[in-house]
Amino acid sequence: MEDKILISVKNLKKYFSRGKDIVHAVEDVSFNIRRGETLGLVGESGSGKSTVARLIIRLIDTDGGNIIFDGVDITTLSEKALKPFRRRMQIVFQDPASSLNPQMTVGTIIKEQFLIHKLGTKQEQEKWVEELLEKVGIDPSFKDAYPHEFSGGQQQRICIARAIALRSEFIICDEPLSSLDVSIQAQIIKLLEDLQKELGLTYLFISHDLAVVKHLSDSIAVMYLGKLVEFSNKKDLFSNPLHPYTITLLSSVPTIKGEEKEVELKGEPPSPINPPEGCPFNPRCPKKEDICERETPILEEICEGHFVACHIVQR
Amino acid sequence: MTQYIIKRIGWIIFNLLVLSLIAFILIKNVPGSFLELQILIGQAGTMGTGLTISEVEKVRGVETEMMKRWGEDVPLWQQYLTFIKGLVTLDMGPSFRWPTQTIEEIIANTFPVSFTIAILAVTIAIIIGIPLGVLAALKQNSWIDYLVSALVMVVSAIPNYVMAVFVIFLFSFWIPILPTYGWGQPKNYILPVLAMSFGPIGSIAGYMRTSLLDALKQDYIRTAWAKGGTERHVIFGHAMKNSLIPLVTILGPMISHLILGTVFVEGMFGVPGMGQYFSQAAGSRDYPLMMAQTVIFGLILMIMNLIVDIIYFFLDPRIRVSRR
Amino acid sequence: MRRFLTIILSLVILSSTFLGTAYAEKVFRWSGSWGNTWDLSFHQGFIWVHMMGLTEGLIKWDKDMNPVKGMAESYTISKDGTVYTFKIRKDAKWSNGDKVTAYDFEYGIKYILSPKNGRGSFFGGAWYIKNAKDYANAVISDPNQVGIKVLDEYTIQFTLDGPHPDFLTTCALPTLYPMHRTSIEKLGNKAFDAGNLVTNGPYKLVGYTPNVEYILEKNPYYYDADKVEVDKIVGKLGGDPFLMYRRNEVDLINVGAAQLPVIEKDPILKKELITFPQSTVNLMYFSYFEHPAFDDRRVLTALQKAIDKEKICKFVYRGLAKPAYSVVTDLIPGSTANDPEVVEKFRFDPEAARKLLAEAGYPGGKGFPTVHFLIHSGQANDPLILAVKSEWEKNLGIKVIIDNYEQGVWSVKRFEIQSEPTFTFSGASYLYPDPAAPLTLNYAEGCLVASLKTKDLVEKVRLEKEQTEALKAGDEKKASELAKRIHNIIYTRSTPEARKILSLVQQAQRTTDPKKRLELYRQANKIRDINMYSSFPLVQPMSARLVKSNFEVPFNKYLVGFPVGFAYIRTK
Repeated sequence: MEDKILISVKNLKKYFSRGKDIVHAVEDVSFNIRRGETLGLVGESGSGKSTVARLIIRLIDTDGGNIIFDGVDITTLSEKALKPFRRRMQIVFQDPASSLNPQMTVGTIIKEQFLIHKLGTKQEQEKWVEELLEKVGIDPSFKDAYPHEFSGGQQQRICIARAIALRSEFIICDEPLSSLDVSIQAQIIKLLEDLQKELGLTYLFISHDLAVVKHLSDSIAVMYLGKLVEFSNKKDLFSNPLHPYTITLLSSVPTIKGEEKEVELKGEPPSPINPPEGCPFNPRCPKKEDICERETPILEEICEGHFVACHIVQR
Repeated sequence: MTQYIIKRIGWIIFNLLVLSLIAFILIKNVPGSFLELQILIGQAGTMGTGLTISEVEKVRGVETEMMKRWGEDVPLWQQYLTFIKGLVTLDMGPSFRWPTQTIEEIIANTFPVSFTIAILAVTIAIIIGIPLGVLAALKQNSWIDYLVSALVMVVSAIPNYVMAVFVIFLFSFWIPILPTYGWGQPKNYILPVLAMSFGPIGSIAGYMRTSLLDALKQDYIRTAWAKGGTERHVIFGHAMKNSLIPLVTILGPMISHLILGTVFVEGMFGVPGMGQYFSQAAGSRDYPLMMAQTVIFGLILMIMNLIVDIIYFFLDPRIRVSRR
Repeated sequence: MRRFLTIILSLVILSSTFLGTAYAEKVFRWSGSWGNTWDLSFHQGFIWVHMMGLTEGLIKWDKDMNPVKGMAESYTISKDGTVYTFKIRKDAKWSNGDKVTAYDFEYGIKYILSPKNGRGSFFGGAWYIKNAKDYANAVISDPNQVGIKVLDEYTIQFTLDGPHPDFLTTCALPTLYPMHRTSIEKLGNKAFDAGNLVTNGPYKLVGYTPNVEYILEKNPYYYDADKVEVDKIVGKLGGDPFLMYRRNEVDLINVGAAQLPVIEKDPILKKELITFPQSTVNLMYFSYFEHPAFDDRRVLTALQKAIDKEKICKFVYRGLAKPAYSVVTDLIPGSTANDPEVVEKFRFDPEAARKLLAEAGYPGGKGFPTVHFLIHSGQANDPLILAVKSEWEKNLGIKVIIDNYEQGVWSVKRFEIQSEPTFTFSGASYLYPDPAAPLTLNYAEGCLVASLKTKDLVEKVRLEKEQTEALKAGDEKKASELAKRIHNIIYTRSTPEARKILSLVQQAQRTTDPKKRLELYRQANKIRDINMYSSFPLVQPMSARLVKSNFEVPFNKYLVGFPVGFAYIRTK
């Protein structure tokens, strides 16, 4: 079982300083993703899920905890030592328009990685680019076009082509659908699924939208204010959500469009600069008790593979 | 592209006509005249000699002769047409204030000087300003950043004539290697160019810093990092080129202002540029020179903007390709 | 690195000193200014012209400003003092080798007088020549009617409109200069460019960059070239003079009161400082407005007695000025600037001033109209104006408002009729030491106008404006009728004192005996100083110059303190 785990995150921490204040962006986040599976990471904006993504692929440095990729602790590897691992994990960002350098043709954007990692001859590189574009459903003859000449959906396909170009095993999808139309979202999900099947990819799929995650994920982690509040396989989470926050999130899922979530939750999420004492969810929790304001709950396994951080549930 | 440039040039000509017409109407409606001011100057020196010209004498003799010579004895619309004709045929006649020099001569003599100085100053500003801005952006919130930001603020806030005195003290007194004044030798360029480049250094460094920071926040930079690119690769391959684009937009107006707005520096170091001619034109009601000044300023600004747009065209595929 | 820099630096310094000594040439560099053309008919720079030594008149000034023979070898003056005949020296040459002839003088003087050239605002001695003024003002169009006659190639004769003993000295001024006809007719405006300008004086123009500098070199064809010591004159037209002087880039600069403290502290600069009086009076005078208070002599005396000129000279000018009680400086013969009676009448006495004002019906300034100072942007920072304002407000309790206008707007505004009492500020300079320099006939007529009551003055200005309109409309009949009415106002409503001045000046102009003439002018001056109130003399500024100790420069007190002539500069 252990050997099937591709990436493991343990007690990940990240603080940002905003002048005199310290933002607790990520606080003690731990999870594992098995090879070939998809972990859906869900949370409101500002919950720290994108920070987790950036920590994992080492775009930013951690302030604590470990990232273990295929058995190797990559948390503090130098950029040079990290280079072989960079090949193996890639990321797709939310806004495809801004994640493609407007100065470069899409061919160059994809090809650049081969140059960085010194792979193949010129002809081979060209060939790979064409194959990749074809694989994500873009006409290869457009490889000399600039990003702005494509639609949003096509741009996201190019981003995906770029992410899989180095045959990476692990792809982080950081809200890859939220800037796209609903009809195009479905096409991209389909593409991601097909690629996973074909290439045996492992995904960390980040979204604020449970409905999207439900479709793709094998297991789901729910984040709230930098902390993991619930972690479980997909079936358990949807059939038996435990954390009050997950429950409120789920209650709005059938309507698909995320807007109604705000109606269900009382108030705005508290500021991560001054997180509330005790359980971070307590100011908005419908089931709040005294203990919630005093002690911070820890993530505990309630039943097989289902972790929750809630005093009420744990009792 | 060619079609686009031709269209733009057409617009420039149209704009110049409108601009010159507005300027003409405004200039002719300002109280006071060259003659009135000349009498004033004459009087300042000779008051008490009684040799002043009364209103009546002006009308009877001198003024009519003067007006005839300056082409002011015809209706205003005719004067304007004469001006336009002069502009087109490059024969705008003599300046009032510099009666033995024609407007064309003045511009032909001074424009190359002002232009060279401005280009040199901007070049220095680019050479110093861009690395400073890049350094500040890369070391954001470090002491280097604060130092550069403070420097940017100081040099942008200090007017160039104060900088002129500062560089004179620096290179003529403390390290006495350069003359404070004069023209003709290469060394005479150093101080004025230096004094003029401080402001642009400030704005370029500031712009570069903001623009690079902005570019570094873009997802494609994160993508580039994720690709496994090195620092050099990410910053110079991806971020720099994109952050240079907004910088190009400020260069156009910057150069045009340096060409025309250097009166103090010119006066201080003895640079025979356009600034001094033009700064005195309005005060002495030298109508031909004022008109020429308006047109030249408009023309330089519009041409600079056109050049900037053309550079933009080559720098930014988003513009280039959509026009393809 | 430091060592390396030192070596480089010393090499640079060494090489520059080497280059400096390689020439034996004597160069005098000064921080000066120049008008915007070398065409003398646009003599915006007329007061500099004698100093430059480019063109020389029949008469020139020696280093003490006495008129001596220049281009003239000899001259005769008719008994009645109206006909001057000059013989031109045979060895007089232009800078291109051509000989200087009487025709060159005739051409030059008529060129400058012609309304088609230049802009005629000051014609110096040229206006004494018969019909010259009418020709310059385009009243007559035939230049042959002007009283200039060439008798032969080397003889020229001037017929004046009366005896003018100062005509001789004005011959040193640019309106009576010769011009080089062939080059002007051949090259047009280009004849006035450096290199093309043909001159007959001790120097020639070899370089000129507008706003930057001009360079003069010795004219080898000048008859007295042996006596000209400095080979090359460089006039620097910009820069910060004080910095340039301290950097040893110029040998002569003007200094102002602000720089005096620095100079006082520096032993070398202190030795090089030269100060001398200047024939200029800073004054303030009425604009056109109607108010009975300003017809009251007591009020006008009070206003003058309320200004502490001693204090202003000490603090505003740091001693670089002295109080003025006459609009004619004490450098002009016949001036009554230091006459005890004049000084006593206008001496600072706030007590007496307040008493006079109270007698006139304005105790403590109560009920006195607000006074406006109409100034232009160039005067905005003039501490003298602020000082007068504060003196009046403090000593008399009256209110002063400063109205600051752009120069061009001001030049129109000051001729308009004002609704409230208004003063403007100016300076009066006298160009040569002769009693007639300030007291011309025109000026005497001006005294009549100055003595008018404010309402008469306003009426006169209104009529003049009507006359201007009539002339523009071509209605000569109406214009001449208006002219008669204006003449009437001036001659019937002016004070007897003013008319006395006029008759004294008229008398003086017919007098050839120098002593009698001087006495007549002195009387006229005194009457004016005691009785004229339209202009208030304030201070007589002094000039301060820094001159490098290896040069000896004779200064001209009459031409706002410039050197008399570059040709007289000696090295030590």
